[in-house]
Amino acid sequence: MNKNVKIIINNEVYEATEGRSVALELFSKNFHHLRNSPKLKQKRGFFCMIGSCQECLITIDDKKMLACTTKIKEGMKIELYE
Amino acid sequence: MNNPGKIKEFDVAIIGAGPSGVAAAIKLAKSNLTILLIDSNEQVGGQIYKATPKEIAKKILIKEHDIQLNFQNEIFKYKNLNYQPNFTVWQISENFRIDAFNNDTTKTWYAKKIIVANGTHERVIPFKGWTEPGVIGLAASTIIFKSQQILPGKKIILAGSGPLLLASANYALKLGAEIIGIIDLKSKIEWIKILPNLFYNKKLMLDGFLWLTKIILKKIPIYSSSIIQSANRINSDTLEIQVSHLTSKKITNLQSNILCVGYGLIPQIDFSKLLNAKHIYNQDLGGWIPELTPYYETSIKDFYQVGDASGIMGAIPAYTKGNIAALKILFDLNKVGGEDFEKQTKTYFNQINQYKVFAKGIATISNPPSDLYELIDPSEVICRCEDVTKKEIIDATNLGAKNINQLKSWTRCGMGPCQGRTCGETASHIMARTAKIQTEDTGYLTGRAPVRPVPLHLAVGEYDYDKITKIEAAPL
Repeated sequence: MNKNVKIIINNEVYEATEGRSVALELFSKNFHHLRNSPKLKQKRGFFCMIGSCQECLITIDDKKMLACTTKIKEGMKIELYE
Repeated sequence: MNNPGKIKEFDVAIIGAGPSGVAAAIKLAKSNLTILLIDSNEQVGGQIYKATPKEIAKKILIKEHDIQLNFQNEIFKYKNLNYQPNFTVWQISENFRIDAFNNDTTKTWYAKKIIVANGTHERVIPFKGWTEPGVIGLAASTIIFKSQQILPGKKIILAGSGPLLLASANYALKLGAEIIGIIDLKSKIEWIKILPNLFYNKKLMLDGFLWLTKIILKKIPIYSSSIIQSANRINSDTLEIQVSHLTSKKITNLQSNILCVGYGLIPQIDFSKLLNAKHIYNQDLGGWIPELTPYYETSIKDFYQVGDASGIMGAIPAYTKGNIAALKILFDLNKVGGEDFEKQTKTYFNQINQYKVFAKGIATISNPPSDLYELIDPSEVICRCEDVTKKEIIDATNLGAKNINQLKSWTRCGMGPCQGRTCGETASHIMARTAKIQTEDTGYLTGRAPVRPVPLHLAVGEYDYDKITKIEAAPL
């Protein structure tokens, strides 16, 4: 059985499935836009799912981490758009 | 820096626990050699047999999960096999020092021999809007369906080329997706032309036919000889997709929650580049690959590269390649006799040869023609990390940059955190077409550590402030 846990996205509390990829959990909550590109400030989201392209680099628990290869954990704090 | 003596040195280190790495690990572990198997995932299987995270209940069951489970069971049987999941290797040095990190720590090992089996990354050819969130890789979509067991959105469009279109559609349908369309670069005639090749593996061909039958029965529209012209987000959950027919130029407008695009796979050569191994260009095998002996040893002695990282052929030959490299190592270390070596080699080489015709068919139906790069709009971003557009690449080429590393220093194309994995090949094609030279003549991006971004405190590892040699300030 999947277990629901509470996570914090941009200071708001959400329910999420423990163990699921952070990228997928964010996408299903309509957080498609994870970061901005460095020069043109284009919106970017997860892309390769294998930790190769580095597009889904976000702040999780105050560390820079890839959303695609990171799993949802209870109490996880996620910050988007820097 | 040499091994200070306290760090464990393994007889063989294997990087990547997909089918090829696992095959090599198991074969080697049956001897008394000490084996290290490092993998960035939490469970073995690689991307092709990607496991569902332990916390998540499986909704759909596919045969990949059984294979993954077998690997997982087998790998823990050997005491001399040290399996290190969740560790990403970011550097291999010339003295075969291996540096890796996970979320909160770093590890260093040494090995006498190294087998790299780190697979591939995806080929996505840019189009207008390819950087839009909601546009993802096609192989990426199969990983989501297999391992995450959810749909990122109900309405899905699959685009690109090759058998992954059918595989992804099949997984998505099992999860209840509404597939709006399958956009195939190739024509039906091109598929029919490769049928003789596919007959060389009737089992996989049958899989493909079953997938296709399911797609036809569900009346999913297939747009052949077509590509994505543009993707544009029109509201919070909808993308508007323009599909263009290659010859008639007819445009079809579609809408979906997610667009998955991929044109086959590219071997990962980060480590062989890092060690300055010789590389060759082979389009049928996915582009740049290390020059290899028949036993998958690179031009660097004791450094092997196997699996799809040594040329795209698929999971089953990948398994055989892992076995061949392992067999050669066992033979060189006198763990296998000459007669046995000859006999096993013959069997393995036959297995590889049987797959060559099939793999050639798959390559033909997956590989994009190089004139597809002409269709990219000059304003489009090619290098996603550094926001370098096609126009900037063309301008630099016209100014005299003929080599991809020259392009990199002039424009920053390929200089970002992905190390040019996403853009390198596209940039090469654009340069080659602009300068009217062969794609391989533009070269490949020089390998640089870290091959994956590593947090600075982890890169420093246990090296402490006290270890820094302090020099007395010069008297003023």
